[in-house]
Amino acid sequence: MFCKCFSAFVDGITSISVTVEADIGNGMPGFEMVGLLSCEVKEAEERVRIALKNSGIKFPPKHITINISPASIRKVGTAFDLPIAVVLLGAFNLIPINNLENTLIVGELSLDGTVKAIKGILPITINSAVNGVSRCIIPADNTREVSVVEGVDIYGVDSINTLIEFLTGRISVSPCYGMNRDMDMQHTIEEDSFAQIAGQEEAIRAVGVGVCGMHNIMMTGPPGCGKTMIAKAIPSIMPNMTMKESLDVSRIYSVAGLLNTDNYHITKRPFRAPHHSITTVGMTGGGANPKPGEISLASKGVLFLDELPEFSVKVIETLRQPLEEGIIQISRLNGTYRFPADFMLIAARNPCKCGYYPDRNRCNCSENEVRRYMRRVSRPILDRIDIYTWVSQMDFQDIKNNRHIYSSLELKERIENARQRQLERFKGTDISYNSNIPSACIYDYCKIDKKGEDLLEKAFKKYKLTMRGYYKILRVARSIADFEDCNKVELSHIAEAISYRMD
Amino acid sequence: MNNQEICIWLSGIKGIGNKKIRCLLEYFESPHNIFLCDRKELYNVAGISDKDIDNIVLAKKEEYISKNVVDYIDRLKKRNIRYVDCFSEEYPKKLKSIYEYPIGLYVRGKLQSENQPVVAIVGARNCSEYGKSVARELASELSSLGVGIISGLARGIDMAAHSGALHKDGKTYAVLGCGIDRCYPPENIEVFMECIKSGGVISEYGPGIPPMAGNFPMRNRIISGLADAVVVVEAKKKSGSLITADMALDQGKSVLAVPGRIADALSEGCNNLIYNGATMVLSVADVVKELENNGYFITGSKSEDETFKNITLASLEEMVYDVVCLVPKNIKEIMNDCNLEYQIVVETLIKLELMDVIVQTSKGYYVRVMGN
Repeated sequence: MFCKCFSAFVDGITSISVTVEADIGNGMPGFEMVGLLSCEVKEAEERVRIALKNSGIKFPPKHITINISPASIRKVGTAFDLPIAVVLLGAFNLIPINNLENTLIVGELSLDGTVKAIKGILPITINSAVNGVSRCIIPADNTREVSVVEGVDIYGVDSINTLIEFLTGRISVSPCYGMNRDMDMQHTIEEDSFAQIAGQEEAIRAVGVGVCGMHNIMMTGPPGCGKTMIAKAIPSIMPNMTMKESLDVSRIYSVAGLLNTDNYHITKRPFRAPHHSITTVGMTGGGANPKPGEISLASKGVLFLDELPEFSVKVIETLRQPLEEGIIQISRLNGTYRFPADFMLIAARNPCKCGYYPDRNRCNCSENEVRRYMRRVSRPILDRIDIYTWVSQMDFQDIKNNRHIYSSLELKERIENARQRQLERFKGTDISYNSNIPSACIYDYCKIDKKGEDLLEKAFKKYKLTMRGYYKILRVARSIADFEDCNKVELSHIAEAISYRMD
Repeated sequence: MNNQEICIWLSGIKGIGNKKIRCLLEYFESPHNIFLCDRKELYNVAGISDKDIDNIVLAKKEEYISKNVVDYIDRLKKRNIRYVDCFSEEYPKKLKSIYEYPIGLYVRGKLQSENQPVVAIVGARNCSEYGKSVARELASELSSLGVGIISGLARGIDMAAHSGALHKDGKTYAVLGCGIDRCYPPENIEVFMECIKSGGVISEYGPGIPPMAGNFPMRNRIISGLADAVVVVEAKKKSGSLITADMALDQGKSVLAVPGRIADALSEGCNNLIYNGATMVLSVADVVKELENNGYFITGSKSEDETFKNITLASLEEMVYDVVCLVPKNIKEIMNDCNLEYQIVVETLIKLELMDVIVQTSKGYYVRVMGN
């Protein structure tokens, strides 16, 4: 007897659909699996056999052949346990075969017959809807993750026995369709992290402007002045995610296996703060079967690199492509993978090795040492950072008076408002933030008057700006205007933007 | 052989240094006699060991002289390096009067003329922005008054002094602690080349001598020796600049120091000097006065008030400008001091910077441009 069903496995952050086939014939009893399978797929034999046995199903001794096609693609992952079990049952006529048409099945089996959650369920189900599959059967533990997927009925099963009863029509399982389709996109109000920071008005303002237009930020300052604290408070002011953004990010997290029943959907913008000992692969993603790295996990959110000069040069240099294009391309033996990586970079560093330059009472670094320390991060990377801000040593008066200038709520409101302005401004284009206004149409969005032009011209000559630097100032000025709720880019906005330049 | 050749010959002999050469000169009175004397006579010289005598006798051989003196001089000529021995007319008289004056100087460019007043400006390598701007300003003001500036081409204050002088097309002289063909520290090569053009680069050490730590205190005695007055701009408690000041005192030169805040580590040395009687430098006029006391006539010396000419600024700019001083202040301090909002302060700072009256020394830190 022959039986087949659909299945899929994760490849990069998309999935590849496959057909799982079983044939039972006479001959020497045995279990054979073919179709370019990796070893975890081959191990399915034992899991399936024992799981079926423990579920009370007995097979006659036959020659069993399993094929997963197309045979030319290497299959990985443990999601094939369940489809293999199902096609076996079908081939032994224990379930009606016609019920398996247009059905995609994924799931890992435990030896006792229960179905366990798998990684990357989101891309698999999203893709199945595209490929014309009408029904997905997935592990029950994964159902919350996929509740936002449209266009396909998704059923969660918790054990082989439930699955058999479902497929034979003895019980009905309701699809998780629409379960929380409107999603809990309502956002939890964060604790007011910025209200806990005393003083540091300039740095917080710079951060606010940066978040408005998704500008990359560099904070420089002596140790212990609150750079990290400011960065850590940023999630509380990040604008809410749209449904689409949320789905895109959840997809990455699903592949990385970072979703579970409690945290089944990413509704908050990610904030990733890898330690500086991170490897290139950890940062960009990689491995034999590439998994997303920190930069992809920070997509639509913040990648915070504390002590930037301490990161290995190689790791920092790999950020060039993602910072420019918003994606990272990883080439491995099995193919080339493209992971999204449109994050906002927030970096922090000390001005020199001891950290106190230019306070000559504490810093004895020679000018060369200072320069060398600053040069650890290459110019091309620094060039991709829009806002440079100085975080100064805390003022005792500020600490004592507990002087708070900004609160997260107020900041978030301003930022939401500024984002709204940007949404309206860029309607019908593929620009999403001020930071990615192409230089070709910069003057359409950042109109400046004569006075502003004069100032810019003077600054251009005086600071020997590059073209890139010049456009950067315009984009940042646009964000400052948005932050200030102004339609027009005023002189003061331009002046402030100039003050955020690199050196 | 002439005096120059003999000086080169003498200083090239193994085991014979400045001190022993002086012993020899004292005994023989003329350099010629050293070359012409026989072995026996050398035994009479105090401070010369048997081994040294062996070396001297060996060095008198023809092949030694052709290789180490004649060829050497050729090589120097090819590289445009002059050797000025202490018997030459060109050798600065100021230097000759110091104890342990060098037997000869390697020079690229020119040596200072006898009647030009020369001031040494020295100070810390890891100096503050304030120190740098003071040194630069002093040097350029003095240069425009026709005073030569001498320093050690080191990082920090020295560089500021050289570049300040070069800025006003003044004459500036750099005394090296390494061979004349080397630029140490290497990043100063531009100033090094400029010095050769406008003034001169001077060293006691011939080509190929590395910048050894021991050379630098020796170099300092030349700096102070060539100068009429030594101005210490910034120095910590134990600073090489204080060695220069000590040597200047020994040599009977004027020592001046720029005062600083008492709490600053970089002011300690200078303030101590003033406490012990060094002349305090509050403006260029103080240096000029000191030079005039030494018998120089400085034309066109400016009065103190003129040095800081007034600039006209709008009221807001005035407010911010008043707060920015010679010590780098960051935006936050400026905000606190003038009680204005962040955006206004930033805008005004940018405007002032574009007017060239203030300058950003490092990210977020501003200082006044001196001379305004």
